[in-house]
Amino acid sequence: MTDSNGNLSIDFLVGFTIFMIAFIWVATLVPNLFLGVASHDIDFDAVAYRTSVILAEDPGTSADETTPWEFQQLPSGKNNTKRFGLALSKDTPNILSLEKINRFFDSPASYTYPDDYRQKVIFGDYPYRFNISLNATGIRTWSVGDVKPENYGFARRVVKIKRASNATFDLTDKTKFNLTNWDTKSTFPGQILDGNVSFHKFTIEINNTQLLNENVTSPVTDPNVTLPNYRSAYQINPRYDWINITMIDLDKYQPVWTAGNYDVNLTDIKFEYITDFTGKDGKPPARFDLAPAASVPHTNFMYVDGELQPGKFADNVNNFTHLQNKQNVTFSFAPRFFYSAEDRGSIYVTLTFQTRGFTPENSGEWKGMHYLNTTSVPPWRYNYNTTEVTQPYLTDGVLEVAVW
Amino acid sequence: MVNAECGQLFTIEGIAAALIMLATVFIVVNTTSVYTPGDTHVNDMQLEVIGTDALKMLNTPVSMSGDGKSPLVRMIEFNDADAFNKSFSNILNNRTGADPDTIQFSADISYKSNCGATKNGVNTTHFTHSERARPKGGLFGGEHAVHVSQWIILDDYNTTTFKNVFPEQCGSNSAKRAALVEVYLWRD
Repeated sequence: MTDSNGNLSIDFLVGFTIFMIAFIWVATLVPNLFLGVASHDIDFDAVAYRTSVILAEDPGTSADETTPWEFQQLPSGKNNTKRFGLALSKDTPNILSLEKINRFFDSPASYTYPDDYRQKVIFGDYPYRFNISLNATGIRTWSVGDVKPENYGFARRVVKIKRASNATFDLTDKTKFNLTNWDTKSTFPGQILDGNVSFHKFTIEINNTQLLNENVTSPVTDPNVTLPNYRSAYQINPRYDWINITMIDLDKYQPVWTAGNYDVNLTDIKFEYITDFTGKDGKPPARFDLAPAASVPHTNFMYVDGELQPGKFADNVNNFTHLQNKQNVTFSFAPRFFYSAEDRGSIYVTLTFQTRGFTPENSGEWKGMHYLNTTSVPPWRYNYNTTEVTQPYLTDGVLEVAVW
Repeated sequence: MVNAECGQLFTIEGIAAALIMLATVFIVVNTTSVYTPGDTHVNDMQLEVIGTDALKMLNTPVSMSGDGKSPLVRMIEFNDADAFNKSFSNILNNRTGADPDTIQFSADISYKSNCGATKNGVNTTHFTHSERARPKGGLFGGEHAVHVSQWIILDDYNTTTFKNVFPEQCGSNSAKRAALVEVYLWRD
């Protein structure tokens, strides 16, 4: 055949086939390419949201199950933290722990930005930059990360922050815990002698069994039934929460018979615990000395007129004298201060006071005087009774996560 | 050998054309940011998260002292719309930086009636709205609003005001009642 007009060449067929394949492939690819461009911001928003969920709704995890991540000793325990999370527990989303907040934002002292945060809360292969901030209304604002650029992914969460319980003793309690063995021969009958000794003890009981297992209100109320699992938001956990006890008006305890001369010394503080309320062989339950946890020595817990008394009572000999000249004393026991106790039984804090007044009518004799004294009565209890202890409460906060 | 080559596309030209198309599409796409209608769900989601959080936190008791009721329950039991307005606005617009957000809202309450003509029916009543929302509640129609809600349990009868919490109730009993607080949110 000599006339080839109208025939398709092999070259044309091959070229047209390649062209069509490429065309179809490009046509298929276009939406994906657009998606890729559009998802640039969407991805940042998604990562910001995921991070906010982890922080606000998750309590975090630790490889060492016996020690929550916020109590890991640093730097050795840093790798034990598998995931950050600020929630009190899995049952209390958006209710955050102040201990976790303080540890999380403690950068660079505890954690390095951005590496530690990328590994434990941001996640993902892409090296995201980020800024995480938390404002606790009326307290302060925490922040970690870079300065935010113009465009970034964003998530904001409304949260609550659990604040610790505390108790305050005043003149009423001093009167309530007087012993009533009056000295009838005194010029001021009914005023002198409290156990007829100059040294006496005042014991505070922190009942772990009751605090961790019984109603978190006393008297029992009918709280909002939509929150059946929110116990950890309102309970006092002596081994992991702050326990704050303040004694005020110490300078107003003066008895009338002292003629201006009296002395109140705090000579000893003893920490003990029991694991069982039933004793053996008719004896009361055995008390054990409460050893300090490794990370929380029994030292810096006492404040006099707002001033920390470092090292007081660390060796049981370094006492504090002349409390009658002070206005208040605060015992502030940090989380894990009582860690060596168990989640059952009771913790006992026993204060030994030396109290004595000068009695002019008895030739200047120093005699014991009424003061906080539980020698013959049950210990004062740190519990859910709202008339004795200001219960844990929640304050407002807002958490913001920006990722780019 | 083909003698007449007019209109023919050769292999190398096909490949070149394909490469040019690919390069063109790649360059165009990567120099353009396209905001598709589907992306608006991100803003909606953010607003919904904030609104849900705010309602939930308002329905969380501050402490177990007293009656242990949440601020939201107390506000509705006392029909205190002003307190709700102030608290909810603050929580909703609170930020870690200096400037507060500008989220507006309109809140309604739904509950089951146990009295009168509407007995066993569900009543929905407007509770309150933010400053720049429609004066009588509801929406103007132009807002891009999202919807959040929270179930609450409250007392039928307020022993402080000696009134039923909702007017469509018979008697003064100590029964509990479920109510649904619904809030529409939008950015001003």
